Amino acid sequence: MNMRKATQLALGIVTGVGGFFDIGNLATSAQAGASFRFQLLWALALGTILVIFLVEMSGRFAAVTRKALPDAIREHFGFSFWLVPFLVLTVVHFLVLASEIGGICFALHLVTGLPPAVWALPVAILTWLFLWRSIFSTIENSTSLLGLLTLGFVVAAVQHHPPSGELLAGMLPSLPHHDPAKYWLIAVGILGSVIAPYLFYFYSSGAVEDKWDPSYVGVNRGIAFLGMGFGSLIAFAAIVVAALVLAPRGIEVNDYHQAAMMLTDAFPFWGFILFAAIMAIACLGAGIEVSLSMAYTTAQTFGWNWGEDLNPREDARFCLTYTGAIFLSSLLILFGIDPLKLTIFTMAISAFVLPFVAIPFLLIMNDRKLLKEHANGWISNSVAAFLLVLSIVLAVVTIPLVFLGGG
Amino acid sequence: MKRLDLVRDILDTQVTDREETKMGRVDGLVLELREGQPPRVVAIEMGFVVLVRRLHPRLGDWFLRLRRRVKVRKQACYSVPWSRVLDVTPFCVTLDVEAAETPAFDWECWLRDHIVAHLPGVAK
Amino acid sequence: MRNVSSRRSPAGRHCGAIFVAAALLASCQHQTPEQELLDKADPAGSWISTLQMAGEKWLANSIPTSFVKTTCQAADDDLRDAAEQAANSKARPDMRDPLRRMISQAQVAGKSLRQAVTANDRPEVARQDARLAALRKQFEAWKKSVSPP
Repeated sequence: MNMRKATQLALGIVTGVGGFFDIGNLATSAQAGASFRFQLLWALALGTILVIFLVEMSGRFAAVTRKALPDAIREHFGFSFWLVPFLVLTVVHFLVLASEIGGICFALHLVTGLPPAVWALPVAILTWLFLWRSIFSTIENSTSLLGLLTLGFVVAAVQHHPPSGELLAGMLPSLPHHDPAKYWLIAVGILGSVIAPYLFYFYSSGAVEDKWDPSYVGVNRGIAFLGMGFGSLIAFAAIVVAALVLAPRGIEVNDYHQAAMMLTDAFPFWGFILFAAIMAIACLGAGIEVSLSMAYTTAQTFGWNWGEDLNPREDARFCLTYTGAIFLSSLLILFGIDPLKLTIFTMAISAFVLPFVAIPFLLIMNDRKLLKEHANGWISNSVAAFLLVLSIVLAVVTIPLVFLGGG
Repeated sequence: MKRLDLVRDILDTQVTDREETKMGRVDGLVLELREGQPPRVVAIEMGFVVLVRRLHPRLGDWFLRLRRRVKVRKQACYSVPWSRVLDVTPFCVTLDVEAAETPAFDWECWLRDHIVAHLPGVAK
Repeated sequence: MRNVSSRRSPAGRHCGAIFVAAALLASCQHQTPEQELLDKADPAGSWISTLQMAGEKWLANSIPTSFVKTTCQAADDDLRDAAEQAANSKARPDMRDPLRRMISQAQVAGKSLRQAVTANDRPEVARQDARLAALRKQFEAWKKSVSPP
């Protein structure tokens, strides 16, 4: 492995740690731990296994064909087929972006005491500036290094000495003793946040931007496994901390204020500010990725010139897509929509739309004409088949759960 | 001889100009029917109107009516004769044109000159 | 000359069926007023604990005053809703009235906590915190007594 690939691998892992953990993971982990202690760890473990496979597939696809997923699916199955996944992805991107912006605004609210709505426009401008002024790699590297702050959850979880027996028991799915609707809604939310539809579509465009070729297939496997694995460790730790700090006090997370003190038991002096910093950084990193992802998908759908490394003059439509997305979605926060309710709703929608975005993806991964010997093998396809069934079940149960679980 | 499937390999494929600037997709294909001979591809078509017409003809009409009010593109449908096609690969159709001078780039240029140029931090 | 275009059937026609199933499932839900009151009480209990934790952490200098103030505000909004729902509940009075009393006490304690941290009055914060802790215990006891076995 040469130097460039080693750096890519290291960066990919760091990005996984920083970029995987976003507002959806934070919200669903805090809720899961606070209301059901370790009982929902299985949902996170299941989601992590599936997302590792999906990310590996999308990176492999990009390395072998040098094409990003939306691009290839649009090309291969035609506009009429792609239209539904494309519209669905656009809606999900928009909602996730609004949730991430809401998360940054709430983090600033924690520190300043000013209402989140006040921060909506400044945060939108900041997020936009990151994209407008920097090139792709700088963005990835700077936010992912700061993203290491999220390891604070892991340190806190270790300090609390979680009971290992209970942790292991939580890895096996079990039926809830109370509030079944809420239990399943959070389970669906965890899956929706871990298997974020934007994640694998974004990852493949990033690989194309980094000019991966078939020799990156191995590096990609490492990034997918270690990056997503470490990323999920943070969500795991967040569940553990919420279970050991919030649950014994009888605090359930129906509002971000109720989660904000979860690190103060482990770090009495800087736990609060660390929580705000983690929330802000994780959401900023994810917000940048989601807005880019939206622009990639749109530009590739219509065949526009795209690339974060280009000057905005060279790909005006691409740049104006993320510009529009950022400012429009910040309006939701500006109009005072509760950031946590928005996040929980968004995660349920993410789970609901999974079949629409996963089916074309899994179909194209089996195209031997495109991928040749790198097409999915039986292991990947078994996981894919399982994911397909799971995603259809999720789509069917999600909407009633949103009604029953109170959303 | 290279074997190509019109729908699988050409329709919807990325189109680039000779500098490899991405300029759109093959939204439609025009065939010429000839007496006693196999049909022949004469042109590729690019344009949003071609695309929506594929979803439903009425969407195309509606879009053309909308275009009477907001008109940035010189032509709603940019038709490129097959003779300008330089190369066809499974992933790309390369045209012997300059993207910025075609109707496919009218929106791009308009947005660049009217919006992007006025935003801060754009190198001239 | 003719245009060649491909028509493929759009995916996702089963959307409608999912929504019908959702509506059916949602309408199948029957709850007794007592069960409903218990469900609605949980957020209130959670806010009582949150306020108590905020007081405790403020005394330990772990969180800033502005955070306690906005938490009290958020708690007050939700507790007001909870109070309204409890007032309109058709559950039996011997179950409903203690909850209403606890919620109104929590509202008062939240307001006092907010004033006390604004005035930087530590003894008063400690007093309100103890009051909230007692309320929490009371709430747990109430929940245990009314929950079906």
